[in-house]
Amino acid sequence: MVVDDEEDILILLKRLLGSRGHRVITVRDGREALRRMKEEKPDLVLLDIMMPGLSGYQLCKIIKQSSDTRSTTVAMLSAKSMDEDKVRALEDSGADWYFTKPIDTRRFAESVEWLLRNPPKRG
Amino acid sequence: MSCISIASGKGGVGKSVLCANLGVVLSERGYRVTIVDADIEGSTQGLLFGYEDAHPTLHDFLSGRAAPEEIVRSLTPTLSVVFGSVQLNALLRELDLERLGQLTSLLERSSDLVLVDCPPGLEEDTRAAVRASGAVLLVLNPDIPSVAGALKMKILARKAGKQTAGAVVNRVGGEYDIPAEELETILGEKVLGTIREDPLVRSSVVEGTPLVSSHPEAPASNDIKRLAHRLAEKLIQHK
Repeated sequence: MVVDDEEDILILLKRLLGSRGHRVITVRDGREALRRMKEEKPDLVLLDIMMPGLSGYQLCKIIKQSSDTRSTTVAMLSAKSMDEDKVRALEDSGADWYFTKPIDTRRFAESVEWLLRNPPKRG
Repeated sequence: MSCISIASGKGGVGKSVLCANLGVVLSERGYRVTIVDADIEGSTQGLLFGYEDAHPTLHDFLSGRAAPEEIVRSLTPTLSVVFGSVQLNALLRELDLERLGQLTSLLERSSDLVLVDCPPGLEEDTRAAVRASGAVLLVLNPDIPSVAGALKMKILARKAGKQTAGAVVNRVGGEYDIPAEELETILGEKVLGTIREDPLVRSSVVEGTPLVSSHPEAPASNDIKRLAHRLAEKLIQHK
């Protein structure tokens, strides 16, 4: 599942990951993401940080605090590239990974497939 | 850039063992290396080299009780170590952590490389060790808590105006390891080496002899030698 308020990103990732055989669900905001997660039970959620309403940080925290969704792998995908942003995502929000935009599409797709195959464990 | 902090942000990643072994390998290649055990509250270099009761120590220097030349112990013609104290009374003394910088400046004059074994965490003792160094080598395990620790250490280094010299991934070989190329991307740092998990490390600690000396053909020893070669190329200014 890709959660981003930028239409271009949703189209790009749907094409990119879809062309490699993945079923991609695109969602534009956090509230809808939570609703769709219950129905679709995605293997991986790719979350933008800067979204109207719930931010990616807040949404990730909700996902990781709920017994229904906490085992879902969550990766942030953001133009925020400071180390401080990554620490906030990994430690405070409980994200499993962090991608920085802009992405190298081939490398990004390989990383997504690594996350799907073998999501990082905490310690 | 000839004084490097070996630092992690998170404890227990194996930086003290790495520091000792790197020091041995580089000194055996003819570089003059000095290790400073700056892990003020958890000194282990004495244990790793079989000098548990070393005296005087870094703590004596930082509390004004010993001169720099008194605390530098030559183990071989090219390897010296400034041990820390494990005595409770030494830990309870008032220590002037800023003297660490004076010490490393002095040691740099007589060494090709000074390796500073940093404390874990991001407290004042770690910040003082980073300030006393020219650059920071990040050590991490291939897991998320360790990545977060390394990122925090990068932030600390940047705020102290210090460069990062790359990353070393220690204890690799687990089923859920994060691959080195993914670590490079998230850290924004070159991975200079990966070191395999090796049960012989524990034996070498018990023996009080660094792994590269006690088990020179062990997988982790070979990994450390490769890393030392890269570090020498990257960091050491020939004098």
